[in-house]
Amino acid sequence: MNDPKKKILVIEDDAIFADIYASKLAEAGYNVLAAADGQTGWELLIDKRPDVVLLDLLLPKISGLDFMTKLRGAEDAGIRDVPVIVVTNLNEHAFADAIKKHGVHAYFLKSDVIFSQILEKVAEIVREK
Amino acid sequence: MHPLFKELSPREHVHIHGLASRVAVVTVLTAFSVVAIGIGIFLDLYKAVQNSVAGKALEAEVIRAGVIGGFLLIVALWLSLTVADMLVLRRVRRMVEKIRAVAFGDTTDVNQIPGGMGELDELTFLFDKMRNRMVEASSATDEKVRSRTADLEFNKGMAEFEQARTEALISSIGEAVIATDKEGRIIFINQETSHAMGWTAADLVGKKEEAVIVINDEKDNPLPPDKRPVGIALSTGSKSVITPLPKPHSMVRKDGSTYPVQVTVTPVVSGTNIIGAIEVIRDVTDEVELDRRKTEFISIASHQLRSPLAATKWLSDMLRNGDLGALQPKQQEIADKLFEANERMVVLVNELLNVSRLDSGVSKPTPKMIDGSKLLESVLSDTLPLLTAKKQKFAYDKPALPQAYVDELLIREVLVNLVSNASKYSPDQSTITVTAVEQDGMLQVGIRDEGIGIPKSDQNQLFKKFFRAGNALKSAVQGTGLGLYFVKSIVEMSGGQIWYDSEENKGTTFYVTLPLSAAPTAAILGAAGNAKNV
Repeated sequence: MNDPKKKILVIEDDAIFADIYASKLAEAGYNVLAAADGQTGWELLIDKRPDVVLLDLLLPKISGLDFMTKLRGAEDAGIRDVPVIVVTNLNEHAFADAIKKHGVHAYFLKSDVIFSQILEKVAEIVREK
Repeated sequence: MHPLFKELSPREHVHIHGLASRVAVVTVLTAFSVVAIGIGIFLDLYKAVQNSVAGKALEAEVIRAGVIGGFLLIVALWLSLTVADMLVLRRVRRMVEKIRAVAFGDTTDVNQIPGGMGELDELTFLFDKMRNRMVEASSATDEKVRSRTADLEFNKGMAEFEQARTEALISSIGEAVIATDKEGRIIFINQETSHAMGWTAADLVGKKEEAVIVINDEKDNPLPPDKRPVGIALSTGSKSVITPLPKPHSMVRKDGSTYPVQVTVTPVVSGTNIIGAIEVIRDVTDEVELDRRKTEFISIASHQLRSPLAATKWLSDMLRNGDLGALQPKQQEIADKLFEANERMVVLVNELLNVSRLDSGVSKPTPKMIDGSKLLESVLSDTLPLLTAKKQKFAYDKPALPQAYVDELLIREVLVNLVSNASKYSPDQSTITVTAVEQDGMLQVGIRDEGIGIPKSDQNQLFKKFFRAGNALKSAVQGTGLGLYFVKSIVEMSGGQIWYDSEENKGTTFYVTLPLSAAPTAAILGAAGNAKNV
């Protein structure tokens, strides 16, 4: 479908969701890079230069908010401008506002969306790139 | 010495002392005068005898008679002096002693002066009478003074007791208490003030409260003089309070550190005069911490409750979509029901969390100026899929609307909730009519449906938590009974009003008013009286 395969970095500590991402994104033809904590996610970001990042917020080691702060503060434009979709169950306005200030392509509440909506958003970003 | 005699001067003392001496001197002078006159008469007689014819012969006889007469006269004088001393002077001296004793406060000798003769007797009698009356009067005065002194002692004791009790009361209060006079000068602090703030009484008493006690506002800037509660209480005569909500003020300790406080200042009023103020400073560290934990708990509960629901949602969605292989019709039905049941749970959890956020004060509107037209149009565009699913449509003529002063996210939820209700409880292919006008300084939005309506009997309970109208319960429409409670809470917290007109089986129109500016307008205040069915 995508050639060469677009790389999607999924930073998600909940194994159920990580598994769904892995299988469904691969099925949709993406190359999935999975990280179960913020630190691993950051290392993969630097190392693999993904096309899109799917980011949870409550994460071990580096939280989603800290990850975003670090990302948007990066000197390397290729890192700094990478599109991010937040997929979380954290629905606090204060958090959402803080994270949105960093510029995210979408902010999804896991309980309010089905996977196909996330997939559509990823496809839309990839198309626009 | 009795106090009545304290003022007696030494001159009067001398005067009294000299009385008896003078009587003696006069008596002696009189005696000498008599002797001198007697000698004179004798010499005259003697000359007469010498000049007479027979005198020569009688000369010796006359001399002898003169000597004997003179001797007898002196004896008589001595006797009369002695008698006078016994009868008069000795008594006078005793009287003087007694009077002196009385004069110098000794009223203990109550023995009568021995009586005498005539005026002296009367004098002693009168003196005794006078002394007795004086003693009586004096003891009556003593009694009065004693009684008055006892009263004063009692009152002083009561006043001391009252003061001690008040001080004990204030000292035992767990809050810092500072008392000031009418000028705002500190006159008293309790132990907790020293304990909490590090000040001693010596540091504060006598100083202006505003000069030593620093209170910071929620942004950590020192309160200006016109915002300080002691100043307000002293100038207005009414109680002044700084509440810890939404964000607490902080008290600056002697060492410069701070802690969150609630400050209450009550003026002390005597008659119509403000004579001082009592400032009570409550440490709200625990409340602030509790509030933080409450917020954190709701936030975590919200996340933790949603996570398994989201997982179930995604997995059952995969199942029903045949991602795991094609399903038999019965399997498909179960997979669909599984997904739907989970969806209901998601809605319930979301609404419960919304309501608990509101009820606990975690969620509060943070209003900003928002374009009314854009807000309404985006709500309509977001909810259009709900209507489309039921082949319903909106009727909205997109009027130009002013800006509204609201929390965009919360008011969006309010409007989405109302549109969603309108769609859910209305038949397929019906129309949802949305109106919006600026009225009485407010933005008034109306959402009219052609649905089942609200029975008259249920109208007064519609906004209650978990309440659902009888006809809604019977319908196939799922609901939690939390939506309108949430909507009403948000609208009222935003400074607006909500009401509705409804007729069963014809439809319902919900009206919401939203403020156009930060300042409360007459329209908002007046709107309370116009609220219908609320």
